[in-house]
Amino acid sequence: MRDSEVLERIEKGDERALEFLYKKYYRMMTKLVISNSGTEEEAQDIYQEALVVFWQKAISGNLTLTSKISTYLYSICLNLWRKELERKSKLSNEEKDGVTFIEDEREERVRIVHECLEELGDPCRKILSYYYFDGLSMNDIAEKMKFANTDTAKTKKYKCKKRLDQLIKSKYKPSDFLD
Amino acid sequence: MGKTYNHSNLVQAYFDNEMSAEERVDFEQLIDRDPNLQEEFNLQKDIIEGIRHYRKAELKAHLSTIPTGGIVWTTPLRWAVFGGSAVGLSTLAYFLLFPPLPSSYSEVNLGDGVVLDLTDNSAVPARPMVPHTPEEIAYAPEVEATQPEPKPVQQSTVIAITETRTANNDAVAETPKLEAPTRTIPEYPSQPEFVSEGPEENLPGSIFFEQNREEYNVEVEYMHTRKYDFHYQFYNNKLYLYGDFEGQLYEIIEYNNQDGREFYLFFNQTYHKIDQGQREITELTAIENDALIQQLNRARNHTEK
Repeated sequence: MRDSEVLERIEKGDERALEFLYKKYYRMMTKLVISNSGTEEEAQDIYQEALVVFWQKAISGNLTLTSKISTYLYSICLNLWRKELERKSKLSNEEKDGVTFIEDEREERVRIVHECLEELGDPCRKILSYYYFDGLSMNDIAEKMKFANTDTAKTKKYKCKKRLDQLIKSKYKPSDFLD
Repeated sequence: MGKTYNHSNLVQAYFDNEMSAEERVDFEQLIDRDPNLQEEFNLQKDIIEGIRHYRKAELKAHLSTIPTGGIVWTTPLRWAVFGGSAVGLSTLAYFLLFPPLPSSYSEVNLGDGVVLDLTDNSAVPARPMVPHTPEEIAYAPEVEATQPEPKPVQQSTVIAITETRTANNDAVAETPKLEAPTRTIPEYPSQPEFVSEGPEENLPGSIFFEQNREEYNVEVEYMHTRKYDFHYQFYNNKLYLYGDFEGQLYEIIEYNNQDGREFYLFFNQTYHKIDQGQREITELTAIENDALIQQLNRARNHTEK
């Protein structure tokens, strides 16, 4: 599959194109991390993060490739790994300053949202993910979810979001969320 | 509650990019002044972040289920795997290409009506035999017991196929040492013989190969670099491969003929000529000569069977 085809397919939300990229460059990208003091697990995580960044940029139509996809992915991996190394080196100081406590709170809020999304069911989860993460338009969502039209997608998205808000508010106190 | 509902809709419009630039600025100023609105704003911000995080985790979890081969080829692992595969491949090639001779050792049926009479001394050349064309192949069963003074004859064409990953190549091309009655059979076969690595010892009734690792050892090193894509360099009897080989196996084919040794790289169903004198990093170019491709295909097929 050529780069242009991969990009085209990702723009359409075809996750198989992402799988293709993952397999194709796995060794190259993980080697970058492993040969720079990373473990295989860290390498895999960084590569997956990089692909997710690529996916998000490509699917939202905000990506104009001026190089090969592999070069682009490599630079993302490199930046992510540099950041991770910096984070690790600062970790001991942050623990002293209580920064990790804030991180824990953030993780807790994310966990709450995850739980409520699980309760929402698959269609709502997908609609909200496509809208807020993938940045798909209502038209794209309607097409992907096989809705009759854009208005149906818009209504469903609105209802799903309301349900999620209500679920979160009914289950958790605002203090669970407030910094 | 009504106020909250309005706040909620306002915040939703903000995050859904349904506000104009001016409305956004006004809204942001309003957040600073209204604690209830700020509370709702922070809640929605966290919810949307949670949704994004959920999707990201979902994509990553999906990627984790995809088989990748999983092994990152560190140098020691490469050597170990390569060594094993080269020995295995060569052993297989040896037995496939040179089945045991009949117990009498007197005749060998080479197929196509060609029978090699091992007792016919007239077939033994008086001096080392150098074939005239690549198609000429000297067959050389070793029958030392019956031939007290065997005369060495050079093998015309030998291809050593070594399946490698990215490592030092232990598989060597061997030059058959012919110490028995031999016969040149120009019409058979059209393809050369392909050898990876035969048994080290002389076995009765089998062809054996003189090991000459010093002469034929080809070291291969994979150089991963962004600068060069699919390039090579032959330096100090070592082959350096540059570029992205996409985690696939490649093969280095060593081809010996009367003009010397030739090397080819087989990758992605394409053969590439490797010039031993190429000291500069050079792009690998695909061979387009059909006859040569067929010949190399036959070589590969022999070892894969």
